[in-house]
Amino acid sequence: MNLEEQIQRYLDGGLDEEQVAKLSDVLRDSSEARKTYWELTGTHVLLDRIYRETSGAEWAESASVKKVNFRWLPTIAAAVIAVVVTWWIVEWRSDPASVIVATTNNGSEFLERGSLTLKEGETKEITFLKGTRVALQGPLAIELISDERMRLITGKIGVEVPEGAEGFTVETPDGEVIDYGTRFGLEVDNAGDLRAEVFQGRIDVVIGEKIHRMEGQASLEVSGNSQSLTPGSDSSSFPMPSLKEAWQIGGSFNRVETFKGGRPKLPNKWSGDLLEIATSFEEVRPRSEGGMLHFKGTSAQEDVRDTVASQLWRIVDLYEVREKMGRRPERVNLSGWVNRVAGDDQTDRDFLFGLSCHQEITEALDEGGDVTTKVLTSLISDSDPETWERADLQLHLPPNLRYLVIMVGAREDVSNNEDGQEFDGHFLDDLNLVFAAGMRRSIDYHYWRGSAGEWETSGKWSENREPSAHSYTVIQGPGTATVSGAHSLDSGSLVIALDNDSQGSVELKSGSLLNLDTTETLVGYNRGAHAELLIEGSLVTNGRIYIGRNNKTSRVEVTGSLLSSDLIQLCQYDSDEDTSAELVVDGGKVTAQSLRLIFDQSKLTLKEGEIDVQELVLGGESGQAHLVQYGGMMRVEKMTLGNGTYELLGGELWIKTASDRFPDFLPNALRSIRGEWTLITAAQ
Amino acid sequence: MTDEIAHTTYVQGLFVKEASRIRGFIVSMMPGGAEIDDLLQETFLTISAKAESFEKGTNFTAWAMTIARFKVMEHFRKGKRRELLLGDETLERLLDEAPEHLSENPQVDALKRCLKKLSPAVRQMLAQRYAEGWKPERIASEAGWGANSVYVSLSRARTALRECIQRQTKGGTA
Repeated sequence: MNLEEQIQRYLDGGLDEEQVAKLSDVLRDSSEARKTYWELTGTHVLLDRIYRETSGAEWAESASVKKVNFRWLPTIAAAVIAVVVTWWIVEWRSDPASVIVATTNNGSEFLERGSLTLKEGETKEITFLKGTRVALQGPLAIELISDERMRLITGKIGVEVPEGAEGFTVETPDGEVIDYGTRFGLEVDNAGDLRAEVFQGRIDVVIGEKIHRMEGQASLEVSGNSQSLTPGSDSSSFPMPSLKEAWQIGGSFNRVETFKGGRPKLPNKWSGDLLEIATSFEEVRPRSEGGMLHFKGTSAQEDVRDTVASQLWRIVDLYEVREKMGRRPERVNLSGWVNRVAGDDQTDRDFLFGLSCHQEITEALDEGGDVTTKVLTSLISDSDPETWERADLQLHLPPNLRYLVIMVGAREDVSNNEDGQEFDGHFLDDLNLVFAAGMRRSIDYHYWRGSAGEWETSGKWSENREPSAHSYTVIQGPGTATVSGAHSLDSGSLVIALDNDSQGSVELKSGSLLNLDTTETLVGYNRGAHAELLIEGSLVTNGRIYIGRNNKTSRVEVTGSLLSSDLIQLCQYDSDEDTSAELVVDGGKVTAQSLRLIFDQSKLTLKEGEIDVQELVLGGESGQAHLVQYGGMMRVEKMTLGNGTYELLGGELWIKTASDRFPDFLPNALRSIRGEWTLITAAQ
Repeated sequence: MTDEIAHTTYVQGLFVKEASRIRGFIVSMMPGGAEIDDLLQETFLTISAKAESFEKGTNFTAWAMTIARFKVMEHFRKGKRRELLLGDETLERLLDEAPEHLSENPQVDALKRCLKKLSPAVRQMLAQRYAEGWKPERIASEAGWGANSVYVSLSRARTALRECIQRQTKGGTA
């Protein structure tokens, strides 16, 4: 029994004299152990309180609750309100033993011993009470046996066993897999065959008398009597539990350094007001070894605010974080510890922690800039220089976010001091930024094949089912998939013409709606593929649309409406292949956050209708992207011009731009402008 | 009303105000739980009897907790079960380091939400343990289980609830 178990059992009266004496000694001698004791008794006391205080019926709804006794404490002087003690008798109905062994990852469900099944497309992530995390992806059947043992009957799982939970065992039809602290994936197919892949650490796969020790990266396939062990493994073919990446930035501030320079302009660098690393200051000592950050001054103008802060910033490039984690970071937590000198009433004690999301780094990083989301918290430090106080700040990160900016600061009420700004001794230590990514599903494909047909004809799809919750939904085959009516697709990606030399086409009939809840839609993918998307109805997506990759031809024609709350890009890569990517708007409307034509192969034609985008990027550093407008309206909030051509033969171009420099660029960038046209800018 | 009675009434008033907290400390130091109401009552009686020794303006909770601790120790000694209670010195140190509040309202609310996520069977077990004060052995025999699995279930239910409460109360400030 570990300490925690001993305490729990003591509270329930389950320890014998010898065990109590042992626990008593430990608690007497260790303040750490006493701390644990109070942590554990908290829930115990809370349970006692609520079962005594309230009707109980609201959460014990299935137990039949009867109030049987209502007793007043005797001998209380008349002037005193009585303490009411109520008893509740709950009739016990004998149920099969139920023992909680795990919770779902978001803590919304407690899972007991017993079986669990998931249907195709369903996913679940569970955390065993000993800390092992398991990603489950349907179709699947498992049985939870204890907090360190489960059985995989059929399906795919990804397992991560943390330190301290080694020995976690998965039973399989023919044997068992014992973990020694690692990440691994297991699959049992319908025939009962086993595939085990280890990505990190070591597992033992026991099949009958035979033990396969798998270390580092290795794969094992067991089919009937044949067992083959090969080096190498591929984690993408298994679901994997969500990731938490601790990223200590600034960390314990050990290096001697002075920070200044104001708000940062580049990622991965601390910059800010006047701050220094200190090893000690009056009675304040660093929280962890080495140094601590000392706030010393501010660059804020006194006349701007009554209260100024000494601040430190850092820009984090989330593309790098994504690269490092191998997944999109979904949440972030910033924590840090603060302290201050003892001081008096005049000594300020306020600290600030902030996180903000930016798509671009503008010079000022001001609130009014391109901040999409921002959270700020303030923390009041106590006056005891020996104790450090902790601040915590969490933020959900929007998809496709580029930059996160961290801010920490100490606030000073200048008006309390006639000399102006005073930073009496404000300190920060152990600053941590932790990113978390959600569970990753294994990659799976769902295909549309063959001749022309309607989207909702289930026979047109693999496994005779309309697609849902797949990594890739792929449409290819000589025939067109026609969408009439309203359909939604929840998939990682939608790909039209994926394979080499394949072809695929989708047509949205007038009045139809296709709602794509996908990360990206790719019109054309591999070499030689021909892809076409005709939109007479409406296509709406919250993800990106790439028209062309390194395939042969990609063509999107819009006479209805195309709406992406993210990016539409012609050509995903600068391909060496002889490729073409074209977007033709002939009536209707295209709306997107951003529209990019960066490479040679990209061509956009606006005949009639409207294109309304926040940002238009025309031409990259070397490409010769081509945009021709015969009529209609191009409405752009901001235009970035590279080596592209804008041929404006008719219609209107409306550019709202705050940049004074823009008109200087205009003649070169729009060098092919001829015919009748109107240029409207916000300045006019 | 004489001054003495007035003072006793005042001290009793303090007790009633702090009763929930004092009860929490009694609950947190002793094993089992059936006798808690009796112990709280005895503590109340002793506090009433010794009211004159309490000085206005001093720390009432600390004083009441010391009395409660002696009551608990006395109770176990009388029942010849002293060895099942933590040692005197250990209890004293524990109470010295006790958190100011054992149960705050946000945690109570969070616990209620978390309890709803438990299965009916586990909730029933908790109701028997906490509302009725049954010993795990009795819960086990009524349900036809082994005592050990009741101990394990209670401990796991509390662990799961503790993590749930932490998430709920943390989530509220995010």
